[in-house]
Amino acid sequence: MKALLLALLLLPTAATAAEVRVVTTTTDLAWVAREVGGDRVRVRSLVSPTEDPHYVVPTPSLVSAVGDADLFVEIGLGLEIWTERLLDGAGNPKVRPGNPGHVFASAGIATKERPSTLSRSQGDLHPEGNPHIWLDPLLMKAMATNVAEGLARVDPAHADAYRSRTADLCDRIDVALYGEELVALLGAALLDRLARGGTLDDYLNKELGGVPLRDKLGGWLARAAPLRGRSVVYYHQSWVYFTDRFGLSVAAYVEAKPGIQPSAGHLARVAEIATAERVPVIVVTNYYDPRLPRRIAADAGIRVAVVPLMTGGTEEASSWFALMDALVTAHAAAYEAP
Amino acid sequence: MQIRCSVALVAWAALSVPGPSWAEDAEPREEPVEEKRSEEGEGSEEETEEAPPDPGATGEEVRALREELELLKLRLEAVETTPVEPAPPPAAAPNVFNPRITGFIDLVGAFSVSDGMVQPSFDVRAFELDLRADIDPFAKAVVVLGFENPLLHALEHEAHDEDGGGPDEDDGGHDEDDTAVAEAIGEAWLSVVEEANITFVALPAHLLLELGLVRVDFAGQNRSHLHDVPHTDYPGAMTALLGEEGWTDAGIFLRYRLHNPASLPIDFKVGVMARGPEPLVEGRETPTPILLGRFQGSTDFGAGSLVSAGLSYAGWRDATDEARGFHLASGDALLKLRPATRGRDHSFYVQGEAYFASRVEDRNSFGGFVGLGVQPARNLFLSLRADALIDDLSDPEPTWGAGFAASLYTTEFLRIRLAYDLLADHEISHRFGAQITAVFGSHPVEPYWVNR
Repeated sequence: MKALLLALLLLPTAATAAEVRVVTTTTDLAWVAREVGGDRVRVRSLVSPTEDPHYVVPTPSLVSAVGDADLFVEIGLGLEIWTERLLDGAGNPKVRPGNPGHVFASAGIATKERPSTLSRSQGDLHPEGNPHIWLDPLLMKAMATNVAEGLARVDPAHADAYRSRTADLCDRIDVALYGEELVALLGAALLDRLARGGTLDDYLNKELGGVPLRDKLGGWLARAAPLRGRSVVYYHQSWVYFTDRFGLSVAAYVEAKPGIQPSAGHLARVAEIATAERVPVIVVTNYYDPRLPRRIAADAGIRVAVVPLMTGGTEEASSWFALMDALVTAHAAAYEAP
Repeated sequence: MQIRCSVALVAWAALSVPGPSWAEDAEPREEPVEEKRSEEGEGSEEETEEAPPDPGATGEEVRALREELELLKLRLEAVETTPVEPAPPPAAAPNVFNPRITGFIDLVGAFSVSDGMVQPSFDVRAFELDLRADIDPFAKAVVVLGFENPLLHALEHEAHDEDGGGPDEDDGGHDEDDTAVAEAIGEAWLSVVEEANITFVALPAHLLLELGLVRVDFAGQNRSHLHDVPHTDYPGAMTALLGEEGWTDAGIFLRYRLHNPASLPIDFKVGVMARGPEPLVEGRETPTPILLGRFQGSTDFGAGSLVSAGLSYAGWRDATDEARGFHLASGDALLKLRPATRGRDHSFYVQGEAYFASRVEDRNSFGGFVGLGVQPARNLFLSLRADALIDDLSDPEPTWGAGFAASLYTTEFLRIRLAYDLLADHEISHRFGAQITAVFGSHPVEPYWVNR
């Protein structure tokens, strides 16, 4: 019996000494950790990709997984309020906030929708701003950099490799967002600056050699170009980074207040708004109950698009790139459909 | 201004010096120039200067450079007109080092029907103040202050004695309790420290050390405060053996999580406590410590779904009176399911706990409860519970009860509950109850959408 216990105690250390054990809250962070860490990391996501990351039950197994981690990565910004219990119960001081093995992927990111007043009467507020930052490719680059720095801290011998892989990932994100030609012409740093400042779309009207720069735009922004200025109804307040990046506007939310079940009156108002603004679609994340949106859609004579919000949320969205592809495609399809 | 000057200088250099000198500054412009030079077979700046002028080639080169210049101007314009994004402002949190403060208000109303008597009551049962914060990088602190309504406390005590065969049952009436109830009217609220503990969270080897006053980690439901359980009160078997409010004790507790390849949560906990469960140590006179041991294992199968089982033991022997002491053991199991049905949250649980208490030179008791909960809609939870207690195994006449509760949540922070309880001792009594529980303050939004 003693020997068995001893073996159980020693086995994991011996078997996995060569790898960095990364535990992430969401599947998007797990994807980033794999991209940045390559074969140096073993990654586990605590949240299923079809699970609402706000409402995860901190089961003992999740506590145990955090207890075994070398690096713990969470979004922060109040998205995963349940991680405090995990970290308290894990008995793993190296992954507690403030220690080298803990990463807030949102560190340094300027958030949107910071509430001006904090009151529960406004629903489930996020005091530090909207936490759904992975839906903006620019912010995904910042998240990847934060993850890479976390890996570099816990595994300094391979820090250069992590940073190199991150640079490569950022290059691929740039091409996916702007298209290869525009990135080669103007450079990603300048494009990012314009995109962050909200002036990229106007800037693309300028000409180079008599040809509008817009003709050189590719990637997701080119595919989403017909969506600029269009309105969409969403279920939950998860989409500000996506809509801002791709120039969409939000006509209304199915939830009157974040996390609060809507009243019948509110549903009727949403249907009126959708009709008045000729919104063709209600976009619902696939972990929400689609029945209420379908009721509105029936009243307003529009469609419901059920989409994933996280990597792996559908078979199609098997990577973060595929997730963004799916989201751009779903939005574009809503306006293309007769 | 500096940028403008630098770019102008670069542009001038590009137009006045044939060759690749400025192309090194910007990668995107490098390729066309180099390709052109390669086609022309010009290997160096020196060769360019010495070669006879080629008007065609120079024209191409100038055109390419003009394009580069145009691009450069475009880039310059972008840089000049787009401000650098400011750094995110720091979160405004002037009280960030203060403890998180949460208040719990528990209102209870009930109609008890017993022996042809109807007894109505409605009042605030308790108010609880929960304060918690990090002490430093190594430890956290929790203090929970409870304020109990003396009148409801007396009424519940009376009901408990009637149902549980308490000491008044043979006195020909309920005079003492009636007096207690009468005296409780107008009394000040009872204030109790329910928890005051420090947890050391930065110990090596997966250890957690807890010191202070805690809800003792004995069986499962005893860890939960009364406002957190699925019914309006604790199971009868639990209160009979651990105390009306459950078992709270001051002590030192060490938890070890067994590190294993499958990351299965297997916990061992040991503790030494000062007081012991009130029903088992009533009248004790010496501070001989009570010992605690607990084992718990669990495994998940799907998001939010798990099965767990635990064994607990507590023992005490009075150092000055060998006739006083107890062994208390329990087994508990919980199955919780949270099927993934896209936001519909039809969770389900079944749980059970069994207790065995052996008092030295006194009676042995056995009891337990089984509970079942379902979530037919996102905000609605239905619970059933049955419990039984044999207070003296040599005279196995059980006391038993059954209860039903329907809990409606407007949000995670406000719960409205209707309940019915059937209590059977020497006679049958019924209780119809209503409870409203409000949580306010800095309590985080918790995943109440699965039965706790």
